Amino acid sequence: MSSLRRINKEIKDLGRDPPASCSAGPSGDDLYLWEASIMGPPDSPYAGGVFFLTIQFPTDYPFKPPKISFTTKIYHPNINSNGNICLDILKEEWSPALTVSKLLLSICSLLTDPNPDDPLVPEIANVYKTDRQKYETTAKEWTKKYAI
Amino acid sequence: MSEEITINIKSAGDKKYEIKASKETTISEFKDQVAEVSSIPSDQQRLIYSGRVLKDQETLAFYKVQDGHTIHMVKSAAKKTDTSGSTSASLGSNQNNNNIPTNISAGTHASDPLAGLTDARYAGYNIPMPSADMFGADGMPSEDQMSSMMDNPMFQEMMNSMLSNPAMLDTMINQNPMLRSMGPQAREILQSPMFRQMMSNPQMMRNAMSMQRAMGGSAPGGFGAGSGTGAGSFPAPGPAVGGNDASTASATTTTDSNSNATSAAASNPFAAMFPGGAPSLFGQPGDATNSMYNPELLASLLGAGAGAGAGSQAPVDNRPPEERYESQLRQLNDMGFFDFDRNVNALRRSGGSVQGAIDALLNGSV
Repeated sequence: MSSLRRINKEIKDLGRDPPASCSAGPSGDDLYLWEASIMGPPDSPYAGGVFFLTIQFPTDYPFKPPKISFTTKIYHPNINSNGNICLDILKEEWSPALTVSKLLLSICSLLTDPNPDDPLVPEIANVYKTDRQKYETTAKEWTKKYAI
Repeated sequence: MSEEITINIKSAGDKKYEIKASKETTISEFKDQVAEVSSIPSDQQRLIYSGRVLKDQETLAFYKVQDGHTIHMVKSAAKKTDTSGSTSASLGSNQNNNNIPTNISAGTHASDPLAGLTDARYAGYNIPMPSADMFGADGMPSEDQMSSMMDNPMFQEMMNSMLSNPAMLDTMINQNPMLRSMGPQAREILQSPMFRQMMSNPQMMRNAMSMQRAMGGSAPGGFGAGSGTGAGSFPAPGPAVGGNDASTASATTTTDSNSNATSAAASNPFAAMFPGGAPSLFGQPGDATNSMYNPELLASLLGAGAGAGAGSQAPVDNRPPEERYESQLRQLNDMGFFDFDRNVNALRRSGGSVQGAIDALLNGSV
């Protein structure tokens, strides 16, 4: 199965040279189910927190994108309370050239720069747009509460 | 001793360390090693490998750490501050419990439950609230429009949260002398699952609306006062909406055949909803029956959700059709449509638009 070969390669690459702020690997014997963690970017209100995610690969990976969701609660306009992430490259903009490592890096940059114009949680987007200070305070509170 | 492996540690600020360790090393021993090179005390280290936090009592082998692989290290608060941190965190979490909701529902007053309904929770949800033009001069929103709105889960959720909010009910009851005098019964009706179901079930609303239409069609002027069809004896509310359960039964049985306003309110949960629109409705007891699913009622109810009762300002137009549609009827007559009843029906359906009425007349739908 080509999906397994590809997944194994990604495991190897991630083990040897993972991105600075993310880490990922199979959670057990099932290579299609991974755990990942993202360290809150230092220049964001999530700094200091470690956020956990699950990754589920489809059997036709990399032709279909993996399903990634947060298991740690996070206050973010593009991530809802179920941990679902609103990110184009996880959906329509997915390309087989992308890897888990690149996806996690994109999620990192989403943490630093939310996209309030395509929100998954409109009320957080609203706070982000109208009262940035309050957004940062709440995001920090949640990070402290759930991710540290 | 088992084999030694080399492990890279990556920590914040692009600092990298290289550590040699046996695979059988426990994580807490390994953290001590990391502490030596990084000068970060072991109790402040969080080590992450393969997406997982490494637990002190396990070994490197347990996490299948391989030679040359990288472990991430995150510096966390020191243990001492950790305990005080956790108390402050628990204090903080209490605060959070109070804070976060108010953060979300920004700019609302706790004392005003209506404001709570219009807050940011619903901002951007794109609930297709009925616009003013949906309720035209005589216009019930079309059944399709209405039911597509009711089908929207957001709308249903809003209705539900509105009706399950005791403060909201209190306000509604307190604002309306009629409801106040009804006492606990009003509350019962508003809170009854039946009523809620009625408000949130598109099918029921649809039934109710087509019933209303049928009634309107056969008796255009509505049930005139004194025509003998009192509100209490009007049997339709239960059967017509389907789920005829105990709460309707109790509501209808408490009404006597006097078509006074209170009994109308009791048999008609919708009427009971409307502090703002109520007086004009109850002013004509006979008409109250017919207005059970009156657009005005819906408008003010929906208005309460959308903008704190904005819709309840418009008075109900109870003039007879020949008066209300005087100019339109004249135009239709000029164009050669002489059937008064058909013209009125067509105008009703089009909400008073002559163009719409002509369409309806020509395609034979009235």
